[in-house]
Amino acid sequence: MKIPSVGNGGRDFLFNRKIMLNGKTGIGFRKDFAEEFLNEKILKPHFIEVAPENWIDMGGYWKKIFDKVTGQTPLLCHGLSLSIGSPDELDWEFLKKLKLFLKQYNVQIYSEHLSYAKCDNAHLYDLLPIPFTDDAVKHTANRIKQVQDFLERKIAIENVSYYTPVAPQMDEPTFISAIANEADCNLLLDVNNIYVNAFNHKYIAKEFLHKLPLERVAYIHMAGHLQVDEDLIIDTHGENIIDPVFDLFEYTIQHVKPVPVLLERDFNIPELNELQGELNRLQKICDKAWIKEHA
Amino acid sequence: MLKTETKNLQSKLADYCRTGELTLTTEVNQKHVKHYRRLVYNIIDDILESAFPVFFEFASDEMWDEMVNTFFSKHNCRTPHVWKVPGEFYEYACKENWKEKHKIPFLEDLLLFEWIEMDIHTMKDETIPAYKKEGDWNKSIVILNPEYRILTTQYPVHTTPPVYLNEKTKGQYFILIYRLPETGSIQFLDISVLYALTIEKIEEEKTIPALVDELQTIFNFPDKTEAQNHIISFLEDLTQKGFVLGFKN
Repeated sequence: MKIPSVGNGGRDFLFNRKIMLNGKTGIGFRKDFAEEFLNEKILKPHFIEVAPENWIDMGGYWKKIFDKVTGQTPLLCHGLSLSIGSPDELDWEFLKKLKLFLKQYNVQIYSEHLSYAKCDNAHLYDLLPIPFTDDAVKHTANRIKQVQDFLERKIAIENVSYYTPVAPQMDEPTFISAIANEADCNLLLDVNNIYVNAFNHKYIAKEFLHKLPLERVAYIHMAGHLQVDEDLIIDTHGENIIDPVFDLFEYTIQHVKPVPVLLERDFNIPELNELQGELNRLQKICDKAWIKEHA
Repeated sequence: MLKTETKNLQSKLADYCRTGELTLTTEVNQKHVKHYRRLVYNIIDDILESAFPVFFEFASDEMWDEMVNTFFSKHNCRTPHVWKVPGEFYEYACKENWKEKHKIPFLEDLLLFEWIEMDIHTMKDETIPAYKKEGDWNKSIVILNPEYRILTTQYPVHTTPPVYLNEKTKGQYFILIYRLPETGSIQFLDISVLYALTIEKIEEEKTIPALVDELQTIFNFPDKTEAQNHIISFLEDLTQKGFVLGFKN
């Protein structure tokens, strides 16, 4: 095992520089392939993404690795624990650390899930669906505004996959749009989640897409999923992206401006050249749609 | 701003994920909601299993499941960092006196040892104090690697598999666990009470002769010079092992 050198590995070079990532593809950085990523140079993303919760307060070996990787590759962040739709108070101590982290690593995009992961003062470490209600719209939008004010930046909220609606008063695109418009935040469009939800809740993905405020899309996620039942798909991030999701992606990006596109692969991670193959396929689709259109 | 009704829905779903007891009825899809409990529970189960591999191997499936279930359903996890949950699991096991309940006298020692190993591996980097490599053991103040803990346990959980831990192995053990600054790898050493106290005194910036004078009141060394030489020899060994960094500038 090669041990990385001490130091920030070149982050000074990236620091304070805004790297143009629109139309570029990146990958969710995992400890599972960290050493191979650094040493083998098989995987060549334009940027990486991490959950800040997994790296804030981290020292030792993994911080050395992280500093080295972020010294070479721009970093975007996708949160897990902010719990933006929670009935609980916002965690200001966590937000303070987050703000420092985003600044320290020159993070251009910070996104979170439109869900809740903490309730009754207890973290759950997974994403639960917010009831699609009028008061939840106002409550969540207000919290997003508070977070944006504190972080002094717009955040992007992600349309999450969900496996059961919870006493909804409105449909999902109305809920997402209302929150995004009221909070004046960006959207992280997870194309796989649209596919998963369309299957699970029996709607047409392309129609759903056009009900969203697409002008707010600042970031796109792509991932694989697993069908666990005849009428249920789980968003696992543990499989290759299937062709119909690639097709939906190709359709989607014709309707949004060029933004960074992320491949999420959290489990069942294949050989890195296979992941690079998926990145190449995504990049080819991006180039076809966005270079032609915006040349 | 959030209505009580909405809050209750969220609370009931969260509660179901933690306990497995579903109180929502027509508000959710009864067939699919179970996946939330499964997914949430698996995250907790996986993080605890990877943090406590020795105890997981030792515990029966029933005991393990009961512990994880009880912990997650009754304890409010405070940390936003999932990798710090094992520390809360250890605290909960102590608070609920699981070593008595489950009749595992070494439980707290084992959980603490496994957790601290992980905690030191991931803890925030400490500032390394200024030091010089050369110095006089008899006059200079020794500088230690600040990324360490000394655990005091009743059972030798660091050297002995759980199945061999019993009343005969009960005693007082001191374990020095530290992180090598260059590589971040974790080392642990079984040390004596004398050496544990020596490290404590060095932290107070005592020179070796001064700390030997203080320890004399506890150990009543027959020969102070010999005791001092033993301590220097111990610290020389720890220099080789990357725990002693050098001497104060």
